[in-house]
Amino acid sequence: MNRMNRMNRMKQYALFTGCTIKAALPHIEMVARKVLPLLDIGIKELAFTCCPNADFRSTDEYSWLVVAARNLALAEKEGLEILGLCPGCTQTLREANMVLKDDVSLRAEINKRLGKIGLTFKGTTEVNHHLVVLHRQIDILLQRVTIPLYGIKLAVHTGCHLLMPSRIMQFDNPEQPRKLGELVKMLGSTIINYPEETLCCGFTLFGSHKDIASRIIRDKVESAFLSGAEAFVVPCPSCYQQFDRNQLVAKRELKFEYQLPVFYYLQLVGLAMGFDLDEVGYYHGRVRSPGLEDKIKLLVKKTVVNL
Amino acid sequence: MITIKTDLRRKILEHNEDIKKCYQCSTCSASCPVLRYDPDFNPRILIIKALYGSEDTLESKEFWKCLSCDRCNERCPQGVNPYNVLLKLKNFLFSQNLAPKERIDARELIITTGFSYPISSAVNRKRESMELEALESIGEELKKIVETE
Ligand code: SF4
Ligand code: SF4
Repeated sequence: MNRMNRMNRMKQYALFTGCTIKAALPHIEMVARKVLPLLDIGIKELAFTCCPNADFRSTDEYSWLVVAARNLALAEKEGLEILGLCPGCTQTLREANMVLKDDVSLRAEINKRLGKIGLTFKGTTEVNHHLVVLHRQIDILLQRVTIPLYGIKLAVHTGCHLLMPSRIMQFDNPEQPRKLGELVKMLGSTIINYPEETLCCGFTLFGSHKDIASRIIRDKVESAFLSGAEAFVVPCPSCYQQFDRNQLVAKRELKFEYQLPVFYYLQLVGLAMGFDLDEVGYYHGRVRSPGLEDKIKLLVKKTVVNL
Repeated sequence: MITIKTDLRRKILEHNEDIKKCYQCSTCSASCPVLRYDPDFNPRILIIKALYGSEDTLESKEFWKCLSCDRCNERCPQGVNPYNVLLKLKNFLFSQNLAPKERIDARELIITTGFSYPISSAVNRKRESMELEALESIGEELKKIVETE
C-alpha cells in the first residue's frame, strides 16, 4: 500500500506526552513520534498542561479536576481522542473524564471555570494509553516487525497506574497482568517470570524518602536479575526513571551487585522495526549492558544475512 | 492512647462517609508497598484514627508517604477506597496550611508554568538536539481557572 493511502487511513489522536517525558526523558517522545505513525497511529500536538499529577491532587482535588477538564476540553474541541504516553496522565484523564461525564451538576460547575478561557467540557472524547491501542491492533504491530528480538530476555513491569483502579483503567488484571507481556512477545523477545513483578517501582518516594525507594529498587532488580532477565521493559516514564537514573543511586547507597537496563516499550518496537540503539534513544539511558547491546547489534546482522 | 475529638471527627466524616464501612481487616495494609518497607506507614491505622477524629491524625507526617499506587483501593473488601480517604485527608491538611512545603511548591509550579518540572534552557537544548519543539510556560490559563477569588 502506498504511503498516501496509509496516511489517509490513519486515525489521528491528540498525543498526551506528559511532563516527565517532555522535560526529563525527551528521547522517549522522540521514539514515540518516530514509531507511532509507522503503526498507523497519527498524532497531533495540543497545548496540554500537566495532567495534573497525584501530588497536585493531594493538595486539592477540585482544582485537579478543573485542570484535567481543561485538557479534556482541548481535545474535544479538535474532535480528537487522547493517546497517553504515561500511565499516570492517562489515569488522571480517564478518571476526570468518567467523573465529569457522569455528574451533570459538577460538570456545569466546572464549565463555568472553563468558560473563562473559552472552553467547554462536553463529554465527547476518550482517553487511552497507547498500549491499549496497540493491543487492539496487534496485527498491524506484527506486520511491522522486521527484526524479531529473538533471545532477548525481559522482565515485564506493567506498574500501577495502567492497571488500577481497574474500574477506571479497564485494561488488564491488576493481580496478574499479562498484556504488556503479550505485546513484548509479539516482538519476538522472551519474557521471564520474576517474584516481584507486581511490586510498585516506588518512584514517588524517591524524592522524599530515598531509603524506602532504594530498597524497593534493589528488590525489583535482584528479583528480575536472579530470574534471568537482561533488562526491564516498562510502559511508564516514572518507572523508567526509577529503574534508570535512580537504580544507579540505589546501587551506590545499598551496594548491591546487579544492574539491569530499562526499555520503554516503544523503544523495543523501534528496534524490532529496524531502528538501531541510537535511533531509539537507548544511549540516553544511564544503566548500560554492553553484553545486551552486542546481542541486539548481532540480531540485526543475522536477520539481514538470513533475508 | 487515642484522644477523640468529636468536632474533628464530624469534619472528616463530612467528606468521607466511606470510612464508616471499614471493618479493620487490614487487607489494605497487607497490600501496601510502603508498609512493607516502612511499618510506620499503616493505612488501616490511619483510617481508624481518622474515623475516631484522633488528635494526632492531623499532625501525622505519614500520610505523605503514600505512593498513590491504588492497590489498597483495588483490594479493600468494603469499598472504603483507603487511597481516596488519604487523599481527602491530605486535601484537608492542605486547606489548613498543614501540607509539606514541597507539595505546596510543586502545586505552585504547575499553576504558574503548566508543567510539573521546571523548564530550563538545558532541557530545551536537549529537546532541540532531538528535533523536538522547545517547551514554553503555559500557566496563564491555569491561573484563571484554578484561582477564583
Ligand atoms: S481493607 Fe478496607 S475494610 Fe479492610 S482495613 Fe483497609 S480500609 Fe478497612
Ligand atoms: S495507594 Fe498508598 S496506602 Fe494504598 S496501597 Fe498504595 S501506597 Fe499504600
